[in-house]
Amino acid sequence: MGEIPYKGLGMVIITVLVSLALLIYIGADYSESRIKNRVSHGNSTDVWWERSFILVCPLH
Amino acid sequence: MPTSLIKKIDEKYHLRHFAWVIVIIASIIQMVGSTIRNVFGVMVDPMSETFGWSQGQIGLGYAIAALCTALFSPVSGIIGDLIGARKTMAIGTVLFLVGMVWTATASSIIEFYIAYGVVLGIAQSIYLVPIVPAVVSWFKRGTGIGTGAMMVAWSIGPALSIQALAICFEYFGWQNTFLIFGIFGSIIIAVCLLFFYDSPEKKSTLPYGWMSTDNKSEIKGILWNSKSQKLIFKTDSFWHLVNIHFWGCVGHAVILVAVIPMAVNQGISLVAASGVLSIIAIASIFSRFTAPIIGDKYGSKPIIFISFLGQGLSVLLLLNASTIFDFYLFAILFGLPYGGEGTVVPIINKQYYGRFPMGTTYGWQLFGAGIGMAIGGVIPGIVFDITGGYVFAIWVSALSSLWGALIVLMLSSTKEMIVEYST
Repeated sequence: MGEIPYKGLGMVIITVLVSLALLIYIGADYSESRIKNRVSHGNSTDVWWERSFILVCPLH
Repeated sequence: MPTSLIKKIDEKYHLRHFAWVIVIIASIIQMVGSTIRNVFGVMVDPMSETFGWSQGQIGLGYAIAALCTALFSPVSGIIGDLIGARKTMAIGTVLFLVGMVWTATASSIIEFYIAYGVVLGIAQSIYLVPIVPAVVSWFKRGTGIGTGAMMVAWSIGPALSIQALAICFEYFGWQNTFLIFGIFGSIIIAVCLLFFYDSPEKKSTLPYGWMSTDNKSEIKGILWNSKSQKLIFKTDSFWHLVNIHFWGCVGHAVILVAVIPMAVNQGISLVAASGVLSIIAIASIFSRFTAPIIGDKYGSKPIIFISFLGQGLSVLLLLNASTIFDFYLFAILFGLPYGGEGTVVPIINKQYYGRFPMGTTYGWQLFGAGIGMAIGGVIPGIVFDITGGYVFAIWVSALSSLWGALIVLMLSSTKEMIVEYST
């Protein structure tokens, strides 16, 4: 038995990274749709978390 | 039931062994504990009417409770290992009583978040975590049937408590119902705890299934110690099991939250759509009972793999489901693997780590499960808001379960223990 369980910890790290990536992607998509919806109603309110999601996501 | 049949069952399963009393007590505690989560669905509207709080504000209370349960699970496990399941659950019962009475008398949303979210969330983790390893410790052999019998309470408990709660809400109002359930639930658990023993060693008896040929050194109480727990932390399988719990719970949380709206979206009536969840619950009772027995007899790894694979593949049926028949067929094919997916875990813990106290290990596994339930629970709503449909959520659910199945393949063989404790 090794001192550090590389495989187990490695898979947990992958889980955390995949979950974060999914959270950022869905969050950015959700933010984009909320902003578009507001703009179409003539409202240009700036919401910090929406801006943050879009800033962090490379696909949005 | 004819007496000859009872005699045969008694001969086979030794019904007078105290382990069965422990299983019954654990089942009752699980049923009362499940009230905390199940009460939520019925209390949203009455609370909204009483205080004028929005559904979103009340829903946040549920999210806080779910998160507190998940985050506190490892702590519950550690406390259970250190002071024993009985004392830990006595603390949980005090928290349950305080939380229920406080929720009933709460007048502000912050008070509600603390009483229901934090206090009852922690109480729930205490009811969920230490009891399962305690039951497992009562069995040397036949762990599967003992665990299976207790796990059935997870399905039957909600079915009974939700009906009882709905009737009480109607007659007594939600505040009085909380008081009644809080006081009576606490009394029931307190009485059960009087007859509860953490392990056979504490009752000076032998575990169920003990044979004279077994290693006698095992009879002496196995005490929790950080050195042996570190050996468990150093196995890949410990981390894989936390991870597997996470993905499995993301996989079914998405479905449990979204399947009714999905069916309604296809033009199916709400009453007929509600039947999908009922069928899932009924189908899962069968596998909750049988999966631990099969896992105990033939090895847990294959049964967990099949459950994850079945859960992931059955979800894909929803991509083309449009009639009530499609949804009910899905409910059966999903309910069977869903029921078997998590209930084998206490068995695999025992196969890997022997009779060493399992509270801390199981607590971390339920931590993974709780986080998975929380994330999986919010995905469908957000996805629907963005895309106007559930296709993306279905794929998230399916891929989560299939990814979980892949990690199951990385688990060590269950043929022998994977740690060697120094004596």
